[in-house]
Amino acid sequence: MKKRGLLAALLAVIMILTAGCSSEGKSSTPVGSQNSNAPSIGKTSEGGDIIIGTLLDTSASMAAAGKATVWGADYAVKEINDAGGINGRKLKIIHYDVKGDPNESITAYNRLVDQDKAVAVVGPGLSNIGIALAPVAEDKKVPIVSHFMDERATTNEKTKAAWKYIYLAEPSCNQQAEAIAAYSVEKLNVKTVAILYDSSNAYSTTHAIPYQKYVESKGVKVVASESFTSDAKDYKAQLTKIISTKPDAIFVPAYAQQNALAYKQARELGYTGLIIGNNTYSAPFNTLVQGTPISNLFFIYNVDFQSANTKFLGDAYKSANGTDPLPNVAFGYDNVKIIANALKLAKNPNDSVEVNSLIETKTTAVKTSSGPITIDPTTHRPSGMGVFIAKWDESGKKISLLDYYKS
Amino acid sequence: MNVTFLIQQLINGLSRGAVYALIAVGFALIFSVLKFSNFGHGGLISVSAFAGYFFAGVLKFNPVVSVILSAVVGALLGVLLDFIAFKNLRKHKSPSIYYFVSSITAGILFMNVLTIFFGTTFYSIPPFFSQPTINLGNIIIAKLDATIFIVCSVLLAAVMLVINKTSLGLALRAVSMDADTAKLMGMNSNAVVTFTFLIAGMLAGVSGIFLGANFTVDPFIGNMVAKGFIASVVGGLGSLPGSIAGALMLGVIEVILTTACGDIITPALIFVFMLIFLLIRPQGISGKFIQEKA
Amino acid sequence: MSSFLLSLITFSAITVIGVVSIFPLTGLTGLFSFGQAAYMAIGAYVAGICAVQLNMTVIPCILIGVLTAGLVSIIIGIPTLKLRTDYFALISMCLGEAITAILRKFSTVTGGAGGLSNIPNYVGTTAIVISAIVIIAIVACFKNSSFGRMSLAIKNDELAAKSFGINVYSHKLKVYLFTSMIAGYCGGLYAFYIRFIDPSMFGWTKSSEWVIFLFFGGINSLTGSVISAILLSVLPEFLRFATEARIVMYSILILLVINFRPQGLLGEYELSLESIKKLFHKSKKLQGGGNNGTT
Repeated sequence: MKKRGLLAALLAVIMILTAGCSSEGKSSTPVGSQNSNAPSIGKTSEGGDIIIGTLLDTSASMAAAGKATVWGADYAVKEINDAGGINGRKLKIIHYDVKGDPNESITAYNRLVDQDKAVAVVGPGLSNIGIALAPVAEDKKVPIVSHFMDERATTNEKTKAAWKYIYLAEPSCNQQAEAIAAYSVEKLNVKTVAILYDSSNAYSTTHAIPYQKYVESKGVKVVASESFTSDAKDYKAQLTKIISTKPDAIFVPAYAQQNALAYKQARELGYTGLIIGNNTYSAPFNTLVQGTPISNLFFIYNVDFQSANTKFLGDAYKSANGTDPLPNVAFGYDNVKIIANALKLAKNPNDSVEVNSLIETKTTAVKTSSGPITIDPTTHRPSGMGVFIAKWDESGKKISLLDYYKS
Repeated sequence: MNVTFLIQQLINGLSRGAVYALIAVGFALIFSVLKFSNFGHGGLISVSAFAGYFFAGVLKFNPVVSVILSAVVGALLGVLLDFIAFKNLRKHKSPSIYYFVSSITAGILFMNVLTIFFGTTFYSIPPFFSQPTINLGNIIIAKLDATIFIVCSVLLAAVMLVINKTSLGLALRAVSMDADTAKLMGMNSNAVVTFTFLIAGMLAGVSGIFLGANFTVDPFIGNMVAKGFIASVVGGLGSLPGSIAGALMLGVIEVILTTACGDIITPALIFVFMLIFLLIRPQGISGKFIQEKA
Repeated sequence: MSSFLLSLITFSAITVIGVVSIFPLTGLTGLFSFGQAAYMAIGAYVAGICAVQLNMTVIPCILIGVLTAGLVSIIIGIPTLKLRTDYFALISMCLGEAITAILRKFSTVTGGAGGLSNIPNYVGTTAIVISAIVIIAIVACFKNSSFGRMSLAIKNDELAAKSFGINVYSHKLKVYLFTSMIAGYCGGLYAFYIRFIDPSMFGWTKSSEWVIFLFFGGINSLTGSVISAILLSVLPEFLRFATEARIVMYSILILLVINFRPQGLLGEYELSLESIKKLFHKSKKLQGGGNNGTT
């Protein structure tokens, strides 16, 4: 009766899982039920560790970015603890891999809140997950700080107000796209432009749309708009179409790997005009296009690892890992610093509701690796945070900053 | 819409097709000998791409040496894949569907192991050619694409030679028809099958480094094996030359559809195309296909 | 009850519905399809769009979603089921890609790559769990009926089945319709629970996940499918200690079962209908049980 035994064991496991299902009894329990939840008022006593968590993709296609964020977050936590912690209490960080999957993210978020009693969470910089998590965070009342640039992750489209428990710590894709659109028009004198974007990636489409809107409003003609999907690697068909329309510039806002392929293939096909990009053209873009000289390329640059604010982080990453840092290292670091700022100001840092309202109202000129960050309480996005416009030198060794645009 | 534009797009289509063909050859080999779709081939391609990076990017060997070494790595991996995913299924005489499912899982496994070790950054293989393109007036041909096409044809010819003209190939064909009878005839069926995986792995090794060189190296590059699957079917399951033709056709059709209708809707159109094609000509381009029972 | 356990249970239940939905198609009739997640997508998007754009209430939305999935399955099934098994598998993969492409193309309605957000939260954990149980019961009835036996006949030997007078083609069509409607229903539930859907959630990897789970549990055992769906949904959470190696361990586990126990975890074993009813009563008792549970 081995099979019966196995079956019984499995059923027992299931029953144990359901046994925790006590009396709440409410028949419709939406994600993160509103009734049964209490904000995580700490069961930890005075002086115990303060717990925060991260939800990042460290095993699927965005693993490189996710792992970099984890590293940056850990570095910030260590730095804070070395300097005495949060008013004498140690900060503890728990990392969960979410595979880039919204289901996993929701489950892991609930786990951080219910089981680990985290008081704030660093989220993954993936917009679709941000959008899925926003209502959950509102139910569970544990704030999420992250770099999902899609404005819908921070703004509730129906009510037009900010989702209450979620924050963006870098300029949104609208702001970034408009910044480089402005640069294209004002400084690069672009008269005709083509767009090549990733139609399967919200990050890309949410750059392409505001860029197009902005340049068209300034009288620039969009002569072609082509797309590819994330899993495709050959864009020559699309590029040939684009090049035949002879645009002054091609705007390519995708992820680093695709940007590199698009750049290489465009140059291979003989396009010598301008190529304009979003914020994923810093390292490792330069290594990925090795063999193709980098010229006539202008892109958004959030994190200047050579700047005074950020150099320590970049150098530390390089000596620890041997490779150049991704911008996500800074994002991870910054998110933790913003959370820590609120924790330090809180009367009860285990009360996630209080922590949330402090993130909302008291994130003013918080010192991060990206400079001082101030979060606008009405939008839950940073105000006055700008982006650089940058370019590489021909050999792809050094980035020079050309301009700075603030929103 | 001038002639140069059309010719360039045709070349683009053939370039894509050449890449697919490289994948399809290894895939079709397993299908024709072992009668199942080996999605683990994608895992082999991914690992080989990293091997290619190691040889060409880290050790800085020249391209030819790197390709050969990657082929060796691929061959060994092919045997490993057989060992972990298929050997036991053969012992149990499981229906071919199990091989398929096992192969998908093995592919996922390989790619995720890569993510563990290499998932912190992106890698690129140093370019094989200092001047990447051949320019004929306004028509651009990428040297790497042309090389892929040539390599693919050479490999195809070599594999066809082995299958049709050597005694080993005879053993392969015998086992593909009926593994049990082949055993009765005194052949070591198991060894023959493992040898098939060795060759398929070698093909994956070559595919991997070329794909890595063309498209930069990442753990999930092997997911392109789905194109190899489509190409093999269009070409006629079980026919290796057919799979190459199928791959080229697929590449060209993709480019035509992208040019005419835009890339977003192209998968839907490919679906319709595949449906019509399979209904009208199920034996594929080559006209040869493996018979299901009656 | 902690939201963590609730989300685990809910997502497992969704997976159970998905895996159980392909049981009649793949387990019983032997048709391999990588496009079933596409029907989940159709159900989810149609239901979601009805709610978001047309402000309809939950039951009509889901109903329309299911019917749309069914309609599409008939349109697709009529030509594709004429193909032989491996071609059918291939075309189903292309179908998945095609549906995703359509969802991205008509972005004004579907939200495109950005997804459909702000779907009202009509469905909770209990509704999903009860749906899962009902669907398991329905599929169990299917399996034990003559309809189910006809499917098995077709899987084992299509030619022989034909010679017995079974209209193989029309039977396959019916099974495909049945399967796809369940997948559509699953999609509708999912959309109203998670409140945000985007095309990348329903790709061929999700379909193959369901197929792998089915094989893990044993293609001949409905109980196996259910158990394996629950187990493999929940397992990643318990493997978290392995951090990055999680997926690797998970794949190794599946490979081991497929290789060394190819008949699946449960083989031919099946809980009878009575046992399922008993189980249902038992867990209902636990749920309703006193207010003494602590979370």
